[in-house]
Amino acid sequence: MTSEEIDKSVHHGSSTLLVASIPTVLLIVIALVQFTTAHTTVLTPWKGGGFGMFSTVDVDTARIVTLHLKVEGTEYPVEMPRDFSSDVESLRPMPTAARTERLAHRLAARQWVEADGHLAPSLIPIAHTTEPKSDRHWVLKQPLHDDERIAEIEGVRLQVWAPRFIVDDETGGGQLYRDEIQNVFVATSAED
Amino acid sequence: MNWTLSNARRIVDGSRNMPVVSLVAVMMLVLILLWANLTWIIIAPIQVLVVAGLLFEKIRTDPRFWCVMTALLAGAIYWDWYPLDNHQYLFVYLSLALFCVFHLPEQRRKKVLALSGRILLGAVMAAAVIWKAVTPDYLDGTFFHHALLTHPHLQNIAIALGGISPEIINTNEEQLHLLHFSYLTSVPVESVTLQGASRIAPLALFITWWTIGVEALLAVLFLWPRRLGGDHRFVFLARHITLILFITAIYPLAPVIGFGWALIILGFANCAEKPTIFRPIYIALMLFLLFAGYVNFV
Repeated sequence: MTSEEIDKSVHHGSSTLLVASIPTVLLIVIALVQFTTAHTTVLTPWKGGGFGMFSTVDVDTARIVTLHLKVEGTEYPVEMPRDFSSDVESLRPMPTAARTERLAHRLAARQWVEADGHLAPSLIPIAHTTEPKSDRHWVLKQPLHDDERIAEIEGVRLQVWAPRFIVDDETGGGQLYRDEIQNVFVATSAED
Repeated sequence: MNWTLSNARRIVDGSRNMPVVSLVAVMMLVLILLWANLTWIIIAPIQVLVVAGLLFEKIRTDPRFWCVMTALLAGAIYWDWYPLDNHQYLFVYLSLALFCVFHLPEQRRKKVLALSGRILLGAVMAAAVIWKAVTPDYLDGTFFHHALLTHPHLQNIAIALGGISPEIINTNEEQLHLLHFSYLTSVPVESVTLQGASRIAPLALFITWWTIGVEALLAVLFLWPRRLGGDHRFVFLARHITLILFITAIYPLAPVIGFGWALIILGFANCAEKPTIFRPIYIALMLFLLFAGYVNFV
């Protein structure tokens, strides 16, 4: 092999590596951004392109989003309406204050009607062990009857909680905690 | 009947004679068609592209085709950055790799595709290992301990090998429900107790170290430099045998078929330079994951 052929072969080899590396370079850049973001914000390691799935119990689907409505000066817990389930799914991986506030504003802008003593569907399985927090419940819907009036919402509180698990070596079970990672209160224009 | 058989034979013969780079493009298009999670605005143009690419080799081997495909897949990621799973990002990198490959003269394509598949897969595994290594609740077994007690896909393993009963599984599900919805009650709880069994901890530790160990091994094998023997037959064999075992074994833990298929295509792409037994094995593995996904055998 002449020196010219060797030069050509070396050049070919390095350009092959260069072209073949382009997608991996993009992967590394996005993974570094995700790694930094997940360590400095509320981004779950499972999402964002850093391949941190199956590394922590703090998966977005295990994060809990709770909703309270402020009516007549009191905050009442309310089950998240099904209409908003995809919004909640989008919020859970990265519940920054801005993203949480946006969702709270959208919830506050909708019409809430005081329900007639019905338990929220998700409360029914645990109702035998405990009581509802309040006799008053609200649901998101258009008022259908004359006696249903639209509630005057003074504000909406959205909280996001991340799971944390501590193993109990004696029982082989453990304690599962919920830690608050976001807490946003949005006052409606009526209160302003 | 004869017509069907002759057509089936023609398809088999066609795929056998199809250039391997084009075959990877076909696999990639099927992957996108079945497993890409796309926002409504991008679905229609991508489906049109996929059908056109599947029908015409000239289209699927055109770099402009893969440039547009990469842009559309990246657009889907931009649209839904946070909720999307990691393998959706991998689809973009694979598409970009094909754009780079088809941009080259034909005689260089196999080599670049093989190298691209190798380092992409190595980088994915390295990122997964780094995340697991720096996350405190992974290395001490907490993550898999919790998963064995609560995750639906691990429940059968927890019952068969971890010694917990279906009643404990049900009780733990109720506890999870309580943690999610107790804020609606007069007694909101900040924590709940999950029940387990003495064999869960060692089982969780075994799965923990097996997973990170195999991922680390794959990262090393796929990123092993050529000048240090990365092209040696032994390394090649070890790389693909480990990947096939990993995909086959990990499916019960993480039944994400799209991710499995993307890893298979990367492994297949790494076999682009020369015919090998691993090519048909990878195609069979794709079908196996698809079948297993429908049957949900675990």
